[in-house]
This record gives sequence, C-alpha cells and structure tokens, in this order.
Amino acid sequence: MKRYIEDVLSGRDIEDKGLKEKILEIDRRIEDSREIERVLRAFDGRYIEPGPSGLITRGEGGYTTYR
Amino acid sequence: MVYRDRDGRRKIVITGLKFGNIYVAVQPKRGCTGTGCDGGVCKVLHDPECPPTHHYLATYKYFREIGDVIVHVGTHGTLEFLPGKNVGLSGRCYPDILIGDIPHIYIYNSDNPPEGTVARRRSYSTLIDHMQALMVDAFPQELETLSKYVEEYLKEMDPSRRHQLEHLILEEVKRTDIKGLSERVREMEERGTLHQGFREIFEDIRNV
Repeated sequence: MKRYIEDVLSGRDIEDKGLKEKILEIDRRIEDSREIERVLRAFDGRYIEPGPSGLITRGEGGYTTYR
Repeated sequence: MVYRDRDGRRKIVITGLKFGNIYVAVQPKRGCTGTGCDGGVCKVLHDPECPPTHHYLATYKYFREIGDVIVHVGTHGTLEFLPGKNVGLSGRCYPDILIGDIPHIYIYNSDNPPEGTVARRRSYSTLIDHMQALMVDAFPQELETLSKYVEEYLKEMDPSRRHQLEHLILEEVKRTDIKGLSERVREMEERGTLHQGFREIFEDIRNV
C-alpha cells in the first residue's frame, strides 16, 4: 500500500484506477486543510460555515476539516 | 496555587506563557492526583455535581479580563462538561459562568461530532475542525524480542533467570546493533566482562 501511495503522489500511474482515485481524493482532503486560516477568520468575527463531520479517510461525502 | 506576596496579600497563580499579545496556558486541572493517579479522581471530569476549583474559576476570570477571545486547542476539554443545565444554560451553570460573553473558538476533532455539539451548546463555541491524529505502529519489529526480554528483566526476581536474561538481552543488542552498541558488547565478551558491563548497556538501551 505504501508503494502505491508513493507512486500515485509522485505522479506515476498504478494499475488500480479506483485505488488511485481514492488516494488522490484523500490527499486532496488532507491538503485542503485550512484550520489556521479559519481560526484567523474567526478572530475577525467572520462567519465559519458549517460542514459535515467524520473521518477524513472515510465516506463519500467530501468530509473536510476547518469548518 | 495560592501564595502570599511581600505585603502579605493572598494571590492566585495563573500559569502560562506570554507570546506578544497571546497568552498560552494549559487548561486548569479539574481534579488530579498527578503521579498518585489511580483513575478515581479524574472521574470528577464528568461529575454533574462537583463544582470546579477556585483556581479553575480564577483562571477563566483572568482570561476573560485580559483577552479578546479564548481559543481552546484540541478536543474534549473540561469546561463544557462542568455542572449545569444541558442546554439553554443559565448564569448559575458553570460553563456559562466561566466563558461569560467572551468570543470562544474551539479547534476540535472533526470525527467527534457528538461531543463537539456539547462544546457548542454548553460553551457557546465556534468549532473549527481539525484532522484526526493518525495512528501508526512506531515500534520497529526487529526490536520486539529485545523489548520483551527487557520487560521481563525488570520484573524478574529469580537470580538464575535474571542471569539468563542478561545473556539474551546482550545477544539481542548484538543482533540488532541498537544504538551502535554491538561492538561494545563484543569487546565485553572478549574481555569476559559481560556481567560487569551489563548495567551500563541496559541503561543505555532504555534511554532511547
């Protein structure tokens, strides 16, 4: 699994397209973290929009943090 | 956490560090016996009757007075579980007394929505989700046997088994070359000073 993740994240192709998609999707969600930005936004008294909760590695619902 | 200053006035100590206009502190203890912990005292964390200590109350009062905002960092603190009503808190409920009307931001685990909801309802916080900590087995497999021997050695009272374990541990130290100690063990073998030198090696591998 570690090999697959390394391959996908360094731009190489792997056979299992479904797995590749999943790795990229989880990576996107991790990279999408904007906790610091949102804390600063809250300092300014601005709105923090709500979002779904749950594990970042689970589910289809585009779970993200920082909300 | 109470002391008397030079003029004999009694003061409460609020612990923490100042970084410019940011004050960083550990949440005050709700109840803790420190090293004497037997799990009994921290049950107070969820006790619906037991009020927080004077020190706890003083700490939040101080933060409210010096600060524009309180940010709790991390999940499941103690404040939102203090005694009082579950929802629609009154001025006699402890979370309400403590947080007052200061803006409250809470950086919270996105995988704990039920208790996050408690934090929102009972301490009027805005949650910013943080990611979950990832769990990995950080212990190298090749040290597994050595670790088992060391654990046994610490408990073992029988002198002949202890003697045997000293040999087994040194063999493992040689095999795994943990902290580059294998050479020293070999030298000890040649000089026949295995048992004299054991203590030193043992302390060394335990202070990784």
